[in-house]
Amino acid sequence: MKPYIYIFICAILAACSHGKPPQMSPSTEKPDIFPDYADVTIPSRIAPMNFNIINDNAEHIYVKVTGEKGGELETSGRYADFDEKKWHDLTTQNIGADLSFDVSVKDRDGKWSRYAPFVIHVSDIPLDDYGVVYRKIAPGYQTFSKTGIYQRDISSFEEIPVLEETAVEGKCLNCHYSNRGRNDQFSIHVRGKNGGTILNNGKNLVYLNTKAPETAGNATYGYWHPDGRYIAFSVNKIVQNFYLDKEHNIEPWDVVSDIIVLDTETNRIITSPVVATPRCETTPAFSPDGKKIYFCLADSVTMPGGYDRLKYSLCSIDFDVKSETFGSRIDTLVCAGDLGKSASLPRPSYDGKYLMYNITDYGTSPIHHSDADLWIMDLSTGESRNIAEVNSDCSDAYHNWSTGGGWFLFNSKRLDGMYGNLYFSCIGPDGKATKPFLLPQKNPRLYYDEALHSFNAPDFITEKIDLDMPEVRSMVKSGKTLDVSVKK
Amino acid sequence: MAKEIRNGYGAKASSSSKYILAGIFSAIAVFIYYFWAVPYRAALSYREQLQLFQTTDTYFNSLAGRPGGPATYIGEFLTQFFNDFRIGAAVMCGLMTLFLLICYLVNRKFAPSIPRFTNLSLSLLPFFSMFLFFGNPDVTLTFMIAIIVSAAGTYLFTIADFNRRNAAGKYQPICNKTTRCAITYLLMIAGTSLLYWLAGPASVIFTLTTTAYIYTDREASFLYKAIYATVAVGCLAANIYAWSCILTYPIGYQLTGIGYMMIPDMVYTGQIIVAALCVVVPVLAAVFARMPQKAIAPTLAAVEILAVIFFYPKSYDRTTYRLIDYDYMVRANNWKGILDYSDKHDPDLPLSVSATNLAAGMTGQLDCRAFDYRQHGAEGLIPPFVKETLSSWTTGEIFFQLGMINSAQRFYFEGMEAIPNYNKSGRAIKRLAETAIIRGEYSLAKKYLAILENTIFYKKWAQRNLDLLNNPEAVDKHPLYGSMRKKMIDEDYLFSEGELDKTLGQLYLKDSGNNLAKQYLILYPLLQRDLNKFAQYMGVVAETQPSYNPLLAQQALAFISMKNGQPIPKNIVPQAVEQSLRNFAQAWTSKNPSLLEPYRRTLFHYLLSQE
Repeated sequence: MKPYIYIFICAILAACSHGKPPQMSPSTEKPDIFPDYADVTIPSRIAPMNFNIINDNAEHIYVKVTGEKGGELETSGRYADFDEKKWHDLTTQNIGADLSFDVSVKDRDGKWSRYAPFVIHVSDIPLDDYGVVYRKIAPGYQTFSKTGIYQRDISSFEEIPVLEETAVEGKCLNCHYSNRGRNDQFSIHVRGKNGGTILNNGKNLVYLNTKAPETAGNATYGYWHPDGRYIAFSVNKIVQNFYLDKEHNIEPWDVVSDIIVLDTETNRIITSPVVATPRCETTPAFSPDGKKIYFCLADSVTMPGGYDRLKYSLCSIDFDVKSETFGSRIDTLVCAGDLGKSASLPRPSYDGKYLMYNITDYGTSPIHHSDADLWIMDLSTGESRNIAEVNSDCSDAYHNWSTGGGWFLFNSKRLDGMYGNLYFSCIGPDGKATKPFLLPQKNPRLYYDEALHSFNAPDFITEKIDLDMPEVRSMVKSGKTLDVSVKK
Repeated sequence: MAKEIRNGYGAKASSSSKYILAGIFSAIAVFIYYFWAVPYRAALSYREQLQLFQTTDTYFNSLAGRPGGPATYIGEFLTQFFNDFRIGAAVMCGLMTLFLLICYLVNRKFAPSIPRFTNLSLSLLPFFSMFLFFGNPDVTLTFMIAIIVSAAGTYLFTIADFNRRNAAGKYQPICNKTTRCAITYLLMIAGTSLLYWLAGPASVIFTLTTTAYIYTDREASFLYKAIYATVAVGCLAANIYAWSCILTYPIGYQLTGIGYMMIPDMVYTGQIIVAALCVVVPVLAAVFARMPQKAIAPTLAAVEILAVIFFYPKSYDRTTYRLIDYDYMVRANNWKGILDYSDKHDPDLPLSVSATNLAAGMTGQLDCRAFDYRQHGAEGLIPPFVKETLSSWTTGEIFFQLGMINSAQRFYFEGMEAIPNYNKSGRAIKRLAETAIIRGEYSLAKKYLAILENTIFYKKWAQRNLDLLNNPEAVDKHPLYGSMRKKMIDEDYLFSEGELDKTLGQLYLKDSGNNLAKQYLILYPLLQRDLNKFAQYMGVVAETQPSYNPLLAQQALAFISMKNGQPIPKNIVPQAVEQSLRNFAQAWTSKNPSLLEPYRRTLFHYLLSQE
């Protein structure tokens, strides 16, 4: 080979290889990274916490991760992109310990800077769920382009569609509700022509028309009973109004909303005059023992004029599975009148310790309120508090618990105020929530900059969902639904 | 030479026919360029705004994983140049001419002895059908690229023909039969798979045309041809089946072509005709080559031209294109252009009426000339929301110009989400970035601007605005953003379509310099035929602008006075207006349509009639 070819190859290699930074002391300044992963707590199974440097002048970064209990991991490139297997080896080795991230950045002039290390704590609270499921939807108003329900393996970057709108010929897909993250007991509402509710009751897949002549509307917000036979739904007739001012965009509210329970074995609806009143009852959730239904309740106000007086209390009512009846008394857990605020979306932890819910100034749609915060109630004492550790200035909502308890996820619009993204946190032994972290992506900056969708109604799933797509298509295409009846 | 003599052409004629042919090709290219650059330039903008092509790996990957995805990528890449009609017209000209050329070359492969003009006349069949089909604004460049790629694939297959035919149509095998057969099958199988991925179902052109090509091989046995046809069709079916296993689209989408049309689940006759002609025409070329030539080319050309004349008005629907023209001018804020256009073509649809009112308002003529044009009540001023892109954006533009930034954001967002093929929109994202900047939502604005930085035509604008965001004080001083901020209502309340007049009043009270809001405010009750409200709103305006006395106000005041049997105030209503009202009153009471005709486009007539 001729010398100039060697020179050429060497030049190419030199251009491609930035190498490691020279030996230098770290500064006292921590690196400005996206997502902000400094001091977060992660489960050991989480996908590599790749990150970008927020500095337009940064050309190359070098990261060395050192485990408190041992192990090292290095990466370098345009952004921190960790090898998946090595990452998991390191996190598994360091459960209950810290990972220290030593970051060096080379700028366009070829000058290296070494930053003070930041730390990520690997929690000893396990997160054994397979992953998460969410609906990807533009945070719009009345028209939605392509929507879809997707599942994401929590330990990798793999995202798999559960059901995309294109698969069912342009139908609008609503939220996915499962029984404690199970992949064989879930429901998905399909709206529009030939709409219905796809229901997997653990035995077979059916397509239901959840509107009975006696009920106010279709089943909307749902929550499964732990025994897998019943689902508590609210039936809502939702109207949307739009703001003129600078702060808000949209205010959905219920013209009518009641609570029902659907028996998935008989397709019968159980109602009660106690939770089907002229007042607004919505967003039910069974208690972990299945004996209670938490829900939100508001007195009707004249809408849309009285929109800022629409305040929901957090309530509960007994439900007896054997007799399939609601209790006769509603207990108020958080009184809207006392608080001067509105509660929504109660979600009990599956171990029965906590009840997480949303608080907004008014209304029933926290994802549209920048003031929406997550609150938590200690069910043993009944005491509630704002989870200030995780809340932001933007909407923080659509929360739910991991099936093993401890971890929770929620949707937050903190990145830009418009697009909701998925965050995780856990309740530590001191009862405090850890600093939330954004769902990891291969190249986070690129992903979140380009994404024009929200992660809507997220939840944990224990196993991968595998829908029988031809059957679903056939169901939706035919529009043939099974009618529900009301238990007399 | 024998062929040329048989066809009636000498060597000299052949040489000159080459130049004539080149001349015809050039003339067609010039015509296509002119067609898209002048009368149909708005259609280019229409297509461009229904997509957001980004120069990122993610964008390519999002399309590459489906059959026809690369054609969509190329199609959308080229469509972005429609942002500038001069370049866009050149793109259309280049693609259409390329399509014609490929059709011509494929024909020549099928019939090497076919005379040039017969070949051209035949090639014009798919060309004209494509031209007419493109009159449907729902047809995307993806379709054209897919057809061109499939036809080009066919041509490449015929080039690699190992049983070459010479100019006289004689076969001259260049390798032995087994090798030839193996290579043919290899090409067919690889070509089918590759083309199905590149172009989607348009690759059926390749399958059928190459099969037809094999059938024209006189030396091949019938069994060989039958096996080839079976394998070719089977290979295509296998590709369709294999993709259907991994795609989250119904099989129907795959068969009609994902991305060929804006509306994904529709089957258009035009796309079948274009594809069918790409297959049939080469076969016809082989047939026509054996027929006497004298009358074929002129007859074909004459029939084609007549067909184009007949189908043109159906393909390029005048009503649809007028709406597209209005949308184009609204997008460009070409208010004078809109008024000139409305002077020539009576606006009669909600979008054209509202665009005309907006243009009149923006040029300060609405309070004088509103009734020079057809009116559709208050909804013609600010149309209600419908889930449709163009009308949403036009209404969004009205809100934007009024200073109702939140509503503008909503309508632009809705319009983008209503794009039937799930695309995003450069036009909408740009406006959304602007509304976010005006509202002070800089993080959101940066997100949109970062996306626009990945485009060719919006990049510079995005970078300028990103720089601006680094200096928030400059935003307040910005000629657009600063003035819009002044117009915005501070009070927090829900928008109600039934109470738009109240909102217009608030806009005017917030900024009495908001000339558009002022004109809309006084016109709104007049369009509702509510003279009491009109008087009330004029009072509001008079408090800040006592001298404001536009023609519509004079006419309305004269009308109210006459109606109430009161004297018309001469200090406010000029003599000409009063006289005009008296003449109208006479015409109205006479009930003589011919006398009323001159007043059909007046406020007086509008107030009394229920049209």
